[in-house]
Amino acid sequence: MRQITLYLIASCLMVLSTAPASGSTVDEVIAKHIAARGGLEAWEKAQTLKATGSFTAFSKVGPFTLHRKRDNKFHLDHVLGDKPVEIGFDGEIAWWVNLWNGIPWSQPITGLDRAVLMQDVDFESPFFHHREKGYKVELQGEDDVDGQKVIKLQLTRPDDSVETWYLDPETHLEVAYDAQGSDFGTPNPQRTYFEDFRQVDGLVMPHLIEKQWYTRHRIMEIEKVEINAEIDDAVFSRPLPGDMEAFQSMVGEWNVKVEQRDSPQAPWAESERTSTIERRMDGALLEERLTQQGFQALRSLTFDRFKERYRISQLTDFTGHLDIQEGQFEDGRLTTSNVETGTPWIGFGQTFHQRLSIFDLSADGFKIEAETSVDGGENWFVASKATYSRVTE
Amino acid sequence: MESRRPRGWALFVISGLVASLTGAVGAESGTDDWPQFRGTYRDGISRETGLLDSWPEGGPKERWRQPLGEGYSAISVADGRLYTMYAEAPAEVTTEAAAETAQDSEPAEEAVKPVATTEYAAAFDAATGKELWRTAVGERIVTEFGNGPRSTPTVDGDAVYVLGAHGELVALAAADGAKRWQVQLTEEFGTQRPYWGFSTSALVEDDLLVIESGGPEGKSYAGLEKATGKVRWTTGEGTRSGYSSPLAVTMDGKRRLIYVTNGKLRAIDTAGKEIWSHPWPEGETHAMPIFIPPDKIFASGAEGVGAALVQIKHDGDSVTVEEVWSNRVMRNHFSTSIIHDGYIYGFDNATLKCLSVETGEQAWAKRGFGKGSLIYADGHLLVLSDRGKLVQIEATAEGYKEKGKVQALEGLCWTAPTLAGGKLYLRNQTEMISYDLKG
Repeated sequence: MRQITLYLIASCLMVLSTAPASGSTVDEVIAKHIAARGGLEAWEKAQTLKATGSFTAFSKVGPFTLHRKRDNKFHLDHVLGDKPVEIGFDGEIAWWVNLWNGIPWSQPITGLDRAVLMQDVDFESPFFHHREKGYKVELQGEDDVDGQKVIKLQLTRPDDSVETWYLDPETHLEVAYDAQGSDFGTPNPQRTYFEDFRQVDGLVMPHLIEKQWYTRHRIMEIEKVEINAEIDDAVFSRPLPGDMEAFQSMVGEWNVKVEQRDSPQAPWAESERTSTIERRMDGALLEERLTQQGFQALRSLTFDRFKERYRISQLTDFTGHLDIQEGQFEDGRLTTSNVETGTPWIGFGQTFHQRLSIFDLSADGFKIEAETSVDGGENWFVASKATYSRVTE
Repeated sequence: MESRRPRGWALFVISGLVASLTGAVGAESGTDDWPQFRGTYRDGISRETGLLDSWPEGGPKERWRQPLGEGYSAISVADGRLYTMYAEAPAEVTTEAAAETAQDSEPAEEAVKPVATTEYAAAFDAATGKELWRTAVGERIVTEFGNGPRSTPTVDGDAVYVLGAHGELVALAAADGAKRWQVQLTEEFGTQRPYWGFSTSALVEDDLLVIESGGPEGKSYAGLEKATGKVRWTTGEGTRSGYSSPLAVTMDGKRRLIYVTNGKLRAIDTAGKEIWSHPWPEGETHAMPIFIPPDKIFASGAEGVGAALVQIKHDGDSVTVEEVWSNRVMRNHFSTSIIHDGYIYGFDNATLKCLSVETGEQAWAKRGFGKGSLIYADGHLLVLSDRGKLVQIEATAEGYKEKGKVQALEGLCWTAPTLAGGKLYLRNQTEMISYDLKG
């Protein structure tokens, strides 16, 4: 009996030696952490956060602006070395304009880089509402970070990526976390440190965040924080090429009233069609499907950033002919033609060039006018007028 | 706190150190000189004493500041002169400024012409910082992480040996910068320029100038006659030139040239014959190996490379290399560690750490210097942060003990400090500064 008692005491001591000194459960540790950060109630009042300060990368210091908005909307505009880099996440699409990739326009962030970005998008620390977010947290006892005693927590995200978090056993604030980092898409162990916790409007947050991985070193030093500042959702959206944003209101279901004629002297004929316009490639391409009495047409609108021109391609199952048009968007009117692209329709012994105009863009509708030329673009006549009205339930 | 290092180990280190000093490169320079990269013995350690034990508020006394062009070349000191390399920055001429200053009817656009820029080796008066001479070495290298020369001049007697970022190995007269001879590494050895530019600093060993020539087909390293530039030998397989520099030591009573490149830690004799080699991880090893007398070598590289201590065992003509320990606690990037009193002090990427030489175990760590650099002098580490903060830290394994600090420079600082005659010399991409560490 005495041996059993001794065994139990010894076992108990062994367990205690690997558990936090406080003997707390994981929920108790998290509760203390949330309280230390200002508390759940205070944080739930915060809907946006804007932070500005300096960002050090490649040993060079530059400014940064960070925007956060619920839920998990994230935008960071900063300078890495001497190259500006913009990173965004609208809750669904992760993107960056990253000159270190040699490309000066927005690209989707994918794969490992996206997974690494997801480590940064939590509005608060990841332990707030961790169960609702699908994060699993396991208490792993005590550890040491560069000589400082810490409570060690393992956090597993829904994509099974694992992070090891270290909290100060006295304050329960974050000291550091270890996770997978990315160096140009190559996995590298990364450690992130948190320091200089300050209270802003009742919310406690680190004002110095330092990351190290591979040979890299980044420091974000926050100088000013604004809570609940007005932040437009557009900040988080992936920037589109050219003025493609101006055409995003065309997305949706449309009733189309069409007036058309075969020649300048012919009378106008009216008809009704339906149209569906969808975003592709995060809005970089708008695709329209038109139907009328079994007749179908496909039309797409893109922006060619190299030629700095808009391009419309359209294909009907009546002709089977793919028409390419290019043009400019000026004063709220997009005008394209196929004269320079060389894709006219040929029939009846004539060559028919076309010029399209899209205008009067609004949330409820827009208009498309098609002009025809039979003399190579010298003279044009309006051949059809389409008025789009948004389908309402 | 009791030192973890056994007393016997200390005696070992001291006796070995004394042995290693004999015949060291630069020994004919003044004892207070710092005639080459990382000082007289290429170990980053100044033997000077009598320096300020702690600094007054505002730091040590500033002696002078001198504008300087771009470059990461460190400062060498010999006989009252400073030697370093820099690139002349391109003239910042705007269209408007050009139009304002145009003396004739030339269109403004034609007045704005890109200015060809040059890398120079230069000498300065150590007392005033004034430039004494400069000699063009080659074309300025331009990279994402800073422009200008990387290599540090090596001063030997009346000669200065410099290496331009494009591979121009040049011998200059210390008196006036006159060129004595020049060898273009890319032509002589078929070397492809390293992406970030040639960075190695040439080593003088008796009548030889030893350098990582970086060529293929047995031309990885080369020994040149320092008087003429004539190639005496080449050695070592490899396909590329690295960024590290060689070390000369006395081991088992014989001079050995130690270096890391192309996946090996290697020792050769002064005739270029390989004595031993040890596999070394491919990857980023830019830091120099460090000799721990009488028979150990410490080396470190970034991230996946990590650090290792190896012991060289001699048994007659047989030489074996045994790893004492290896870990990833110390991952030097471009800043080489220093070793003092049985402990390694250096940058694990961007964290200053102290490790036991004997075990490799970490004694302490301190962040806040970024990707800094350091030297040792008179019981202290002199650490320059990558943002120009100069900090004096007690060199002890007992913990981080700061003894003084000053914001010495602004902007990016990746060049290690130089100490000679009680005067500290620092540089960045725009200026050079000197402090008096004795009063």
